[in-house]
Amino acid sequence: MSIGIKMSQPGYNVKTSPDDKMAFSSEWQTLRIIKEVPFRIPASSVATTIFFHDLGYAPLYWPIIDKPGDSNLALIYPDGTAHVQNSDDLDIVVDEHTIRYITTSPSGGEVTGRVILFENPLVQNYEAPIDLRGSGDAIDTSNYGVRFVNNGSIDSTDKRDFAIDSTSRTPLVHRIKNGTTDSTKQIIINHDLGQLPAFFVYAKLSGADYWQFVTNATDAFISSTDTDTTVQLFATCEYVVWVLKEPVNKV
Amino acid sequence: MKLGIQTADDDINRVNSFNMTINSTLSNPLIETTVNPRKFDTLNYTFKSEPAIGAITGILSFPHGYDYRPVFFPYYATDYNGGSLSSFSLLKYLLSDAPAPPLFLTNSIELYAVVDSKNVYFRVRKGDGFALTNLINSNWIFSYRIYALDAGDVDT
Repeated sequence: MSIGIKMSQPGYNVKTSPDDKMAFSSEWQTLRIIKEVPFRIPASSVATTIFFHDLGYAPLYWPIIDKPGDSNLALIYPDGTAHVQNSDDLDIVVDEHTIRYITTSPSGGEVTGRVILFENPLVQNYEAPIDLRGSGDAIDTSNYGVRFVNNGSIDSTDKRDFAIDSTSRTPLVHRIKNGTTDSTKQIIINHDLGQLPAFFVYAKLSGADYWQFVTNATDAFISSTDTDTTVQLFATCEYVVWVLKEPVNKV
Repeated sequence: MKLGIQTADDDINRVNSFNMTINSTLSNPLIETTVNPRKFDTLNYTFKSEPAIGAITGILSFPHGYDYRPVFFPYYATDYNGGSLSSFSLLKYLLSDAPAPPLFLTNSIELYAVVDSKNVYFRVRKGDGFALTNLINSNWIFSYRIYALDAGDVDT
């Protein structure tokens, strides 16, 4: 028996709406924030613990970093060397208990920012069903919908006050792929969405006890097409790739 | 009394909190606040431009319409250097209230995005060995996602 909630964006039939026009489905994982952690790392700091989350597992996270001057978000080994060395490498990493700041250059300037910490365990394998194939054509422009207030008033116009609002797309998790790779392997994840999805990649370098957020750079090639997400990290490491249902190249 | 809603992809009374798909209450001790981040703005832009050699050059700036620094993720596609406009990558990013600092993409071209309390910026800085004509003659598509989250300041 399948019981749950599905919620489409305004104007779309919830029974036939394609995945990217859904605001929510209880069949799919969502990203649930448990903590937002602002941080300030003084200039010339070495590796520093920012926050003890004590979840007992490495959580999904987004590092938002403000760093004046040249810097590089790099894959960094536990010995303080970067996988691909640049002048001033730094990153925010997580493990089962902490959020940490690491750097290859303790002489660097002040680093500030915020870490968005999710309840979702970072390392897992997950496949959401694609069960809603529709035309995507709007059928109704009536002004109705659903919203779940989190803080403040239900009449608020600030989207930050809501856990769900059917007038906005909620990031819905499509695939999560965990595995190991090396300097030569190319990881190809067939997401079968038929559109370019948002995606996030994390890596745990050999010998490290922490996970790092990875973007496209000299030490990582990461890209996605309508059919596949491709990752090459050029290092021996464990990886996890999160592919969301939301498209990055259309409204 | 607590009001709210919970949903899960299994028996709501049996799953762990992290298996729930919505938990709008504070009933789980792990949860201090529950907000689903969401995109409510999107933009694609294709440009052909020429940055100053060796200089940070503002190429694109877009007002995002909010009075705070939002959490955002920039994506890009390019046919530069054998790339494909149908293949998107997540771009390195920063938030900043100051003139944007660079982030290294490669040694030859530095491409990055920043956001402040008014705009999202995509910028290029020419590095050593970068053929300027390649940028002029190539196409770039930028797309970004803004989530209803305040990246904020450390004091807020």
